[in-house]
Amino acid sequence: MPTTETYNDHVVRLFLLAAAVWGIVGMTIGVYVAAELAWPALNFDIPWLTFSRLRPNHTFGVIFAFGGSALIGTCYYVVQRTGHTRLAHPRLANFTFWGWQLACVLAMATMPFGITQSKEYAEPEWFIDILIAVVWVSIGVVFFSTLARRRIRHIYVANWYYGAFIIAVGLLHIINNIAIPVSLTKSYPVYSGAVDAMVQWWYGHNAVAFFLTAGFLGMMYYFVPRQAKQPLWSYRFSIVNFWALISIYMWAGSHHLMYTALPDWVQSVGMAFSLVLLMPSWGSAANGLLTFNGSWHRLKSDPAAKFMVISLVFYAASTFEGSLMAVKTVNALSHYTDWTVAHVHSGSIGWVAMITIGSLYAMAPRALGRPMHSHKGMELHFWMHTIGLLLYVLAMWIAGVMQGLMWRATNPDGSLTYAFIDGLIATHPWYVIRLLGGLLVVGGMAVMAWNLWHTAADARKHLISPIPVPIPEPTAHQSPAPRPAMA
Amino acid sequence: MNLQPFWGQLAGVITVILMLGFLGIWAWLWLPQHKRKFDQMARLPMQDEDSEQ
Repeated sequence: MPTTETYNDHVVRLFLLAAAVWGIVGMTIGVYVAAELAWPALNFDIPWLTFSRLRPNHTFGVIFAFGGSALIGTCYYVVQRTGHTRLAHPRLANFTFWGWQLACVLAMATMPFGITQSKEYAEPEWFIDILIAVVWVSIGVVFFSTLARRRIRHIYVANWYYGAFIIAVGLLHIINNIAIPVSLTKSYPVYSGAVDAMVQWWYGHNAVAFFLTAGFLGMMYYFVPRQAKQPLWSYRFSIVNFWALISIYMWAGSHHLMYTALPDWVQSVGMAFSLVLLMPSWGSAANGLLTFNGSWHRLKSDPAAKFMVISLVFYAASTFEGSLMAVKTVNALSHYTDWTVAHVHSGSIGWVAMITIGSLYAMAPRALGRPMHSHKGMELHFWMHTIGLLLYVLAMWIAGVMQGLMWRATNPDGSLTYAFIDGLIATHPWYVIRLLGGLLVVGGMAVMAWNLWHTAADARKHLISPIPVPIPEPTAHQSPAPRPAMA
Repeated sequence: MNLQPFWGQLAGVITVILMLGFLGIWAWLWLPQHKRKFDQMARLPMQDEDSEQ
């Protein structure tokens, strides 16, 4: 019987690499479409270069390809470390990597050519949706089988978040994508009218909830205490926030459909739940930030910790903003303006990307077997990302509120003060500033990719040795006894 | 038969059960016998560093 067992970090490294590559791809497309909004002639009258075709490539690229690769990679890393066990089903784990990459490539290669369901954040056609469902179930099998063979009896809270992320996203993906194919490249959804809209935003909002929040909170609850070198501020509070978050989020989706054909009471339910949602959101943000109490000095020297702290500040800020924007009277001003774009990017570039980058910088030295190649490179990345983020969100906040006010302004006789084109002309300079912000963010990602590539030099030459799993000695009459080590 | 009042009552009962369940989670978490385990758990992420350096 083998006496030592090692962590499976091979698949973790693959996802780490994929996240770095997809981050650059998805954000570069984002920068290009941002430039198209400032200078529309950049589409050169080529259909697949138009904003409408490329925008889903940006959102899919950053959310599912970049965010998804980072989430699955960290999930595999964390479930092993918090259970003191090796990843289950290594071949299936490898399949989840290659299957996820294939699904991302297929989606990104088909959407610009008009092969799309036209459902926001669920654009890929039916054959890609089936592949995604198969890969997703496989991820669930790997994750929950690993949990089942853990050597620590209590399931660490990060795994609850990752587990909710895996179960809920599978459920959302399958239900939202039920469609009748009429050819390889075309299908029609089974839902119609207001029901279609409601299912779509039940999916869309909960993709934010369970993909972009629960999954990344899993990352946060593991990597923040680890990087702060402090115990989690309140473990109990993290569990309260978990149950509150997953119970409330499901009901808030209708706030995306204010003042539409949806029944008024459904809109009000969405608004009420969105307001209550602030509590668990701020609960987790506070728990993460308070974990740094006693080690704030680390921020001077540790760029990964800096990324994490700013990400938590933006998590608190964007969830407060989200609750605010769900209030009907605020929504009347903000909806259809660039305020929504500012909100979603303060959440994605601020919270999601920064907690991901912080976690990747924390995880990479362990997974790649040596310290990060360039500390200055990480510092440079932090400042490029932070300045880019601020330029982006400030420009879009100003543009959005300005658009809302201009669109609703009326003359004493009741006629509109401004034509739509006036709003566009006033917005143009802010679109240019937003583009500058985006360029800084994607430039920072290129610095990270360069840094990771050099850090991975030993791993590429197979010079690093696997990390042994700490297997506790069984105590007398221990039940259940720790599992014996695997080969 | 008008079922409207029945569904209204049922919704109220379910709401109360869910609220009690949530309060139950709070109470369970703050039971003194869990404190040691949760304190250990709060330190679990720091073990990664310890075991690999």
